[in-house]
Amino acid sequence: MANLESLTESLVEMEEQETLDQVEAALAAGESPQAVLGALSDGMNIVGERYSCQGYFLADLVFAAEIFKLAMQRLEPALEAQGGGPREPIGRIVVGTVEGDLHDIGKNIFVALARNAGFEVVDLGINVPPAKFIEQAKRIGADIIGMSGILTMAVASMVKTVEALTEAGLRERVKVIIGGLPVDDRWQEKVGSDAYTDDAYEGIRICKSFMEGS
Amino acid sequence: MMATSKSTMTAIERIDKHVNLEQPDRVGIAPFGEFYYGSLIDMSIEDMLMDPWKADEAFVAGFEKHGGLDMAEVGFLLAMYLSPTPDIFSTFYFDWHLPGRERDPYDIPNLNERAREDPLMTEDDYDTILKHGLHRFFSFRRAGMGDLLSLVQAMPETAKIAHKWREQYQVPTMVDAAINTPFTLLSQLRGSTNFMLDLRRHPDKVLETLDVVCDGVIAAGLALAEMVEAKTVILGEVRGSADFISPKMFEKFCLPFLVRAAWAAVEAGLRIQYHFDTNWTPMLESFKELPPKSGYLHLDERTDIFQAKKVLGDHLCLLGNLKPSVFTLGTEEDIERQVKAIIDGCGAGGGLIVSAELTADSRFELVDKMIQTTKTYGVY
Repeated sequence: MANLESLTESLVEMEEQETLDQVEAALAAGESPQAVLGALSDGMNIVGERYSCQGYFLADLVFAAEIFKLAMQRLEPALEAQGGGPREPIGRIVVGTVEGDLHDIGKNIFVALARNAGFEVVDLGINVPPAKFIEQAKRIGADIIGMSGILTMAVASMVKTVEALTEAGLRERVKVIIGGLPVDDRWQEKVGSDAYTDDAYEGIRICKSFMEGS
Repeated sequence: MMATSKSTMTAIERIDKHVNLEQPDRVGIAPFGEFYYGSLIDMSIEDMLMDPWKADEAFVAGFEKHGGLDMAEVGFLLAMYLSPTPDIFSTFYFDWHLPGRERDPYDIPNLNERAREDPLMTEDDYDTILKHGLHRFFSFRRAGMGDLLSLVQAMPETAKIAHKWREQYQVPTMVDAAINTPFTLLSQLRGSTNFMLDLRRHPDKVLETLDVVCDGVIAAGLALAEMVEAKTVILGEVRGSADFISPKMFEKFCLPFLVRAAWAAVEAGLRIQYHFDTNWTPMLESFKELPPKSGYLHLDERTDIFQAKKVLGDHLCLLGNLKPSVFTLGTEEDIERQVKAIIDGCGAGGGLIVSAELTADSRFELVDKMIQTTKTYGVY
């Protein structure tokens, strides 16, 4: 059997090729794809913990997430072959940078981390009007709406989106999280969201807690 | 601090003292707020952007309504957004959406960075830059020859406005020209997410490119400074902070070029506005490599300004750091409490200019609270 602790370690140390080679080797050695996925997930959890205590920084988190994504591209066929289909998502998120704002750095990182964490994510991109959030939330049966923004004018767009959710009868069953570097409790109060964050990784933790509570 | 607003120095004298880390009559006050000042007289952002005299009219309104400020903003925006040389704000290089063009005349400019998908610069373009320089990315996609003509006509006017403030009103200008930092310039071209991956995958190539780009941006910045008879240049960095990379990466990929650019500006006789948005707290110790007393270090609310005073109090003047959104969503009590805390924690002995980056929708009474509190509570 393969040394899965070593696989976890190589991801934590962000050794890209070494991690991908170990995934291939583990599968070739007959290791179950679920066990390989578990080792990779353990690695991402350690990376996340280090990020939370400033041992790692955003660039580290982004690189680890990239390696994880590439590893999953190798692993998914094996998982599907054994399980009969893709992973069941732990929740469904519709996310976008709100109308009037084009900033997408944090939103893109959140999307990558959310997908790695097992969420199904519909990324609407930037400058997203309220109607588009509603349309896509209905289409996929979203559990969570994630709105990103940096400009103070984004607050007004977020308010409009929450109002549109209410008008569409979705607000009661959809959690709303807002994100962006300047976002704080004042933004949350104004927007009427369920949570806020200025940190993509923290955002994933909040979304997981939403799902655990649902 | 004493509760009196009597000023005994001109703004130029006061800011000179702060920059030299000496104690003047009171703490400085100089909010950034081009678009806020425009909103005070219902001037569109498009007008402010394209006409330096209109921008000055807006600033004069703000200056007078608030009873005077310690630094003047001089319609420098046009030079940035229409810069023909590589600049993070240049519409000739980046996908900026400008008011009156892609956006409503009252909307602020907004960058479509393409942080991951469809970046302006591909992985192969490091070699393009090494071979041909950054000018290969100049494009007429969003701006044209007419814009270049506007720029040529506006620059001498901007210089006149700066001269007016310095000579007639004894108020120093906040910024007259810019030296771009190669780290953020490349990050913005490549897309921040792609660039963070490149730092890991191709560190030597990135470093080599930064080195080449650095000399070019210094030369362009100093030429612009000379053209407008600048006293102060802005040296802005965002992507090298702890919100993006580790202190170790910062020391390798970012700091050497900041230091090189800063010394070049100082040797040209320029004061520097170090405009460092986002979180720099873990990097403060490294800033001791910047030329001492060479300008003021602008920090936003994500950096611990109290820690900055401890680390850099005998090295650089500090400018900051109230959070912009408090001027739209906060209260006068919030502002007063924050200003007093900054003055108590960072004002001792001089070297402090209270500031915030005001947005167009900042409320007048909240901005005024920051200004008047500084002028009274900040008296030495």
